[in-house]
Amino acid sequence: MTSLAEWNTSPARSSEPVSVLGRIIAILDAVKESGGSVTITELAARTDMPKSTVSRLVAELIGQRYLERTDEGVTLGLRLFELGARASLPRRLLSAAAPVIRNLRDVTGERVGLWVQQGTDMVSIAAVAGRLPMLPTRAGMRSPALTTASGKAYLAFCADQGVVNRVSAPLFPEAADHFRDELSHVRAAVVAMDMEVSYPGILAVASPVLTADRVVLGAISVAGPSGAMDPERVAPLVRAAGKTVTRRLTAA
Amino acid sequence: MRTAVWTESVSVLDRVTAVFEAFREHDDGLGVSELARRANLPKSTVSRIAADLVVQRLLDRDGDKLYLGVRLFELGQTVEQPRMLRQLALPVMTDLRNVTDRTVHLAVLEGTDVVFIGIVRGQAPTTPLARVGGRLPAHATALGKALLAFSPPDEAERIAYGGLERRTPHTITEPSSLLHELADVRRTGIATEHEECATGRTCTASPILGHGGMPVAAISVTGSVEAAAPDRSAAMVRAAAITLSHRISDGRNH
Repeated sequence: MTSLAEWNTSPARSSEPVSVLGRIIAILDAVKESGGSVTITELAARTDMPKSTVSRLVAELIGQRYLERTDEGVTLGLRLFELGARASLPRRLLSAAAPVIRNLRDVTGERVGLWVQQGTDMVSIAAVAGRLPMLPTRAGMRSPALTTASGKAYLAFCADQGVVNRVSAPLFPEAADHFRDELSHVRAAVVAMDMEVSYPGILAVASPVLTADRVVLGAISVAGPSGAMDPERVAPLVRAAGKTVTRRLTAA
Repeated sequence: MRTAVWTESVSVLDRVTAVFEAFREHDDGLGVSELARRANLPKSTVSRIAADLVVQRLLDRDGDKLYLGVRLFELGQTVEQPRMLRQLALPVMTDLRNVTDRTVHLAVLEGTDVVFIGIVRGQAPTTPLARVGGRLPAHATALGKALLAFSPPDEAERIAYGGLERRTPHTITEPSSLLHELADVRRTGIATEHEECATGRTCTASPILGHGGMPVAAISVTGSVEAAAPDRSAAMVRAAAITLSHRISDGRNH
């Protein structure tokens, strides 16, 4: 019998998750990454689990509406949509930032994004298109924290050194030093820039969103075409927007 | 036969769901004791589950308080049906808001409720009753009636006879009255609701039909009772729903 001790195992770092919760999450992530519908056989291959296990867990997940059956297999279910909409941080940030995002979009004419950190990535919680309509930035999508303006704006104010270390782990020592220097500049300027590093042809400028006691919650960013958007002109506007969101959060 | 692993896995998911659902719409952080009370589980169990869910970022922790986590948001934003529907409907919803100046809703049917998947807010200063991802009982909303009227008859009957919660003095709680009204909605393609969900609020909805005439979602215009001009907005809501029904069928054919 699976003992309760299983609960206390930390999530597996290996490719095969050990706890039931770990397996459930591996299945949900694999369905998410498939970008649509996926079959049990594909899921078993992607999660490295026996097909019988996947099949049992998927049936249970369908029963509880975390997954939904489609003609081509299974897809993420409406319960996740409902739960996700109730998630606290995005909801809090978004209600404080919504008018600021609209205003920043109107003033700059560029794409505006609102981001939170997750693992080594930034997750978009809102995106409004500017003259760059096609960016991989709809809500729910990820960008690497290491290279993006929003990631650097977040990391510069992140009190958890573990997070910063995990994100910068792939860097060689010299590049890591350079990265630390860049973060201290960001701390001083309260604005971070990405000069076409994450996405060719795209410049981005971001500023952190903080709580009253200076805990960083996320970042607000503006992205525009290189050569057409002047990052120095945009920087003060983004910094002011970050401050306004911070103030609105505290007031709420 | 159910093996031990099977039984264990079922109860794990049950317990996780109980913890998730303990967070209500407007809740902010909850402590472990409050979570345990709401989930009807022992505090030690909830404490263990919560610790695991925090590691997986399905819950966020701030001091003693637990919150539904960013990873749930991320998964939720990826759910295909609401995302595609919202993407498709947003321009039509915005037009409808611009001509009516009132709040436009998009919802799907889920069990006995409607789940809101898109909202474009109008100028009318009504307190918002609905929130994206939130629910309202189908029988008490125009959206729900529009969806039920075009659902298979046994589903509408199951809901009608399953007990109709009273939300205001105007809520339809008599199964036969509801079924009678649904027959009208089926004829006209327009469902209305007059202070049946909340006092002072009125709503007009029309179903968006997909393959085989089955309802995929419904679109509505909501306003305050005083400001309502039902006849004019009904035609506009109906037109918007028909446009979206065509777009959905077109999308399927590509």
